[in-house]
Amino acid sequence: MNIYTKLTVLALATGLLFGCSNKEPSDPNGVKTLTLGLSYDSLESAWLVVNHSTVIAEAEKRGAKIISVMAEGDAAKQNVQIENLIARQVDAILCFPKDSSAIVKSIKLCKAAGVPIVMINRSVSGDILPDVQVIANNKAMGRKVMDAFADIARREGKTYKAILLIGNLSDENAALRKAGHHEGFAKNSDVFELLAEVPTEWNLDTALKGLQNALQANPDANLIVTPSDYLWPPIRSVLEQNGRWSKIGEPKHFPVVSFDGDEVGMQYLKDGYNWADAAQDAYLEARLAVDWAFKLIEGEKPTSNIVYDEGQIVTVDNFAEIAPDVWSYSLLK
Amino acid sequence: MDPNRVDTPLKNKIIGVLRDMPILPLLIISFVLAACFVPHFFTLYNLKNYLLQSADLLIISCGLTFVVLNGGIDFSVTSVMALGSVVGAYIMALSPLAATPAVSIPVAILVMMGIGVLVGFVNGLSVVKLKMPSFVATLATQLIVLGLAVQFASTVSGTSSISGLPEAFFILGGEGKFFLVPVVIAFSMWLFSHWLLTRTLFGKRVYAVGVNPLTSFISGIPVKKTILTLMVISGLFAGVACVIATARNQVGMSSLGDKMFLTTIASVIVGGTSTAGGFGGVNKTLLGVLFITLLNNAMNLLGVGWYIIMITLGGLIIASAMTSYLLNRQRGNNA
Amino acid sequence: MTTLSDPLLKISQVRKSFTGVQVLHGLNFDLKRGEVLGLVGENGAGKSTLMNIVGGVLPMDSGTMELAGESYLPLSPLCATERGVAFVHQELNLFTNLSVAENLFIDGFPKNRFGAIDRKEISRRTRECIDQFSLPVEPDTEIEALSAGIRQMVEIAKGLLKNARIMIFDEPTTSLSKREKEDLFKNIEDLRAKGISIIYISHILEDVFRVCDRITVLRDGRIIETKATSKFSEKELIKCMVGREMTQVFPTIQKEIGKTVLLEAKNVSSGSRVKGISLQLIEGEIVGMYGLMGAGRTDLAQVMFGVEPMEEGEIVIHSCPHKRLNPRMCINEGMAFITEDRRQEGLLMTKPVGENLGLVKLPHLLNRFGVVKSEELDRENRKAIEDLRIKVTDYQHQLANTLSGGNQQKIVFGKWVMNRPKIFILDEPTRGVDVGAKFEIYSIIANLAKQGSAVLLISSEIEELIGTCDRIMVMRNGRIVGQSLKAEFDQEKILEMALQGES
Repeated sequence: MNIYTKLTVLALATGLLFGCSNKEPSDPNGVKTLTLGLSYDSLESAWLVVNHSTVIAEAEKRGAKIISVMAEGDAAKQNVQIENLIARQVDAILCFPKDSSAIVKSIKLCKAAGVPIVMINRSVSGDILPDVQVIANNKAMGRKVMDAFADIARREGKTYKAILLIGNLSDENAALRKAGHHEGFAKNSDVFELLAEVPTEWNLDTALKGLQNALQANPDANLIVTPSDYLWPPIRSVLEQNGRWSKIGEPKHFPVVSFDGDEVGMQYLKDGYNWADAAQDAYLEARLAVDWAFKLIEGEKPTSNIVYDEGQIVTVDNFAEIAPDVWSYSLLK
Repeated sequence: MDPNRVDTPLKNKIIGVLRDMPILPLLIISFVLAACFVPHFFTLYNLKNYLLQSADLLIISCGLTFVVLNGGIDFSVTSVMALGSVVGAYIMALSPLAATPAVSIPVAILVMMGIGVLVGFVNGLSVVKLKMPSFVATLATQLIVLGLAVQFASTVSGTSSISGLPEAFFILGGEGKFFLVPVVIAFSMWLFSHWLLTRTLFGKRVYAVGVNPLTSFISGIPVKKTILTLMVISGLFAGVACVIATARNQVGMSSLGDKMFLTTIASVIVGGTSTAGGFGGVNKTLLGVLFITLLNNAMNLLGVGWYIIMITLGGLIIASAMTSYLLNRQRGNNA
Repeated sequence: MTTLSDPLLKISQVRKSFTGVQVLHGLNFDLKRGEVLGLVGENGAGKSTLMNIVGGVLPMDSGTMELAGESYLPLSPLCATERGVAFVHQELNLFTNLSVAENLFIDGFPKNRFGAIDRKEISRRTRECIDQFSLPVEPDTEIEALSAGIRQMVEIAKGLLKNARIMIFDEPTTSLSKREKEDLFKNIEDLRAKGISIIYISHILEDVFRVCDRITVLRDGRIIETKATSKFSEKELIKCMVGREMTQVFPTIQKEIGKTVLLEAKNVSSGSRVKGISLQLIEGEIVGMYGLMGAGRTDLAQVMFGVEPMEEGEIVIHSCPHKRLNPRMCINEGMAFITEDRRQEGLLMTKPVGENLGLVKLPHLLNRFGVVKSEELDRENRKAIEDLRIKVTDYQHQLANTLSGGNQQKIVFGKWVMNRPKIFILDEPTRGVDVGAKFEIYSIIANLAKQGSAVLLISSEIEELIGTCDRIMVMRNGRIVGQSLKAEFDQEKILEMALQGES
């Protein structure tokens, strides 16, 4: 075979291949089936598992097809996966990013390709924003959980001197929750006095040491406020060491107010170690995300880039009515 | 043309190529199958992505090929990417130089490559002077360098990623209409390593030392210097891959390259370079890279799970090693 | 029906060949009960091969063996042990990281009823053994901590534990001190008194005379003579070992020996194998180096070429003194080293002939950019193939391991000759090479000398050295113990020097 024959064969082959590219399968009624691309970091936490399956259920309820990919903790891989989803010509992308900074590249790609992208639970800041971000209203929830506990305090005629744990401040959520907690303290200054803040950097060991020191330095403290149920292990450890790990009603009980609504916090709430928990609503965020995905596909534009999940404030008082709606309820014993 | 060479008929030539690179027909068939049956594979948008996705993998795998040709391994290449990424991002976004991208970008690039060279040099010294097996030496550097990367990132920015890199840098990642830039860079690095291995004295030495270091030593080849050089090359190529990957993702990440080692070594092995040393080359690695990227791309388009991809990859590595062993056994080798 | 006077071991017409080369030519051999039989012969005479066959390490090609009147065909060393043949190798087969007890039972640990190793039983039996043979050890002493002599005693005990009827000792005294040697001889006496037969292989004729009842001489794979020790004189023994008609043909080439000393070694020492060697290599001269196994010839060659470090002394090459060498330096000074083991040290077996040929010359075939000039390389390769008459059809693709031994050796020559060195160190250059190729190699060597190169030819074949060299040096125990000039070449004298020369 000489060079010209080779080239001709190559050209024919290429043409054939182009022709082979599949078209989108369409509904016999002529209405196109929508495809949603789901790009999640992983299904590592129970919250994500519930959220992810709710998204899929919602989407399928509305007759859409789902393509789901997992980045397994690799931000670079997530970008590649979203790139491939766009090539797959999905109609919209729902994303739980591994890294809020690294995902910006994918947001750019989506915009360039005209594919709507909805961020779930982790917020993105800066100049380039996704079409919609469905996030928990961390600041408001921080304040509301303090309000709820303040009401209980007033009813019981008690005042509290609080130690506030702080998350890693470069994490938006941590900063907002802290701000919300502060608002709560300020608004309910008749009940609360803030004695100390403990920076934890979201590190369990740092939290342990910091809390120990804070309790020692402030022996009259009688409330711990945590911005995440993630920090329960060091809290329990320190309280146990001081002999204060007891339930409500028992003499040695030490009040704690938490955030997140995960299975640990909610269990402690049920068992009486925890007074109140601000739960991020996995179901709601899923429904809102899917809802907005469809709206964006239709061409509707949101008034604000941020769509809030106002969360669920669960306390010892309203546990029976509100807890069953919280995503972690089925995991409680 | 060598006048002594007997002109073999086309059929023998094809058989020769197939025997030498069994991955080639596999790649072609997979490509055709993907083009026909995987939706949206054979579109301009996706093919462009496919090339971009193979670019940084190609560079890092070419570097690793040198080490594998010597019968060794280099675990630290992925950590080089992590450290280079955060240090480079720091230079371009947070350091005093950040104000002038015209300066910060070249400096960052040089530093990223320099980190690769340094790590490669340390690996080389450990193997050559301390007589550590490359497995142990590079495992140690991998952990140390990764630790440095994570520590550096959290010290300068509190999180594991650094953003705010200058727009001009993204050109190296194939932003917008510059989408061919990383592909051209990758191709050039591949061409350079191919030339190095097949045409130069150094290349011939790499193969000789890979087959039998003792014979090479007695024949006057500077075995230690050769091994040191090829470890440096591995580090350097990892540094270049780091530049491209960081530009593609547009942030510095201490998690860059984290899960990439499997695909890198898979590309080299599936391509056909023998882990025993002395046989193979970057032309084979190129095929391996193209094949593995094809697999990943196609499976993403089909929505196949990560675990299935990993299992397939593992199976391919075994299959390719077996094929290589069987073919070589026929030739009478004991490779 | 066998009687006590019948031989314990009878070997008939045993033949063995390796890759087409006949090593044992139909041997007939017998061993009586309770006797110590000495087995002597030069390197390569076939002693180890014969004993390996008896010990079950190698299969024979043809022939029969009878042990106590019954057919004896051991398929493995384990079979041999079971039949009562114990082989104490020169390199003792003990595991240095294990204890005495573990070594004694390594191939059959007594087990308790759960199937696990019965440590108590092992300890008890080891104690018994220690007492029985008066071993100065404890059951859990690690072999590593024991001296060579005691290790040997443990090895002997191991053999006896298995109720050995025949014990084969291969060069048993090489690592022993004088005291330990005496102990060994005493042990051999005890064994003989117990009715155990012993085959004693050694180069140290004085020991053989002392301890053996009969002596068998092996030469070139044939048994030359078997007689009672008392009937042999040492001189006669040596003559038997070496006395052959010179049947090989060697090329006669006119050449002149020059005056320039190309290489001089001055008092070179390294480790325990090379002790104060001084020699000179003169242009145009072929110097032979003879010695028995372990004399240190290869070690010397490796030190001279920088493969092993030189601890004392210096080497003067082309009037330049050196205390530290490496192969690259030597090559640059115009030296070449053809090693003893071409498979491991001389060739890249799995690479094509062409790649092997160019290996040494490569740095000189580059253009400005460090690129190898392939046409020039090809030209050099073709010339080498032609000059040396290497039989290969496609040198660019045919792998080195597909060629015959002789051709492989020629590739090694070709590789070195390409660089036009002036000093050649050749270590057993015709080992594993057929007769025809041998002659060609002798011609190559002679021509090299004719063109003014200095050659050091290390060999275990006296005939080869006599046929090619201008003078022959003899090494023993790391020293040069003698030299023979061409005019007075004498096989027996050379062997004598190798066996007994002052060390």
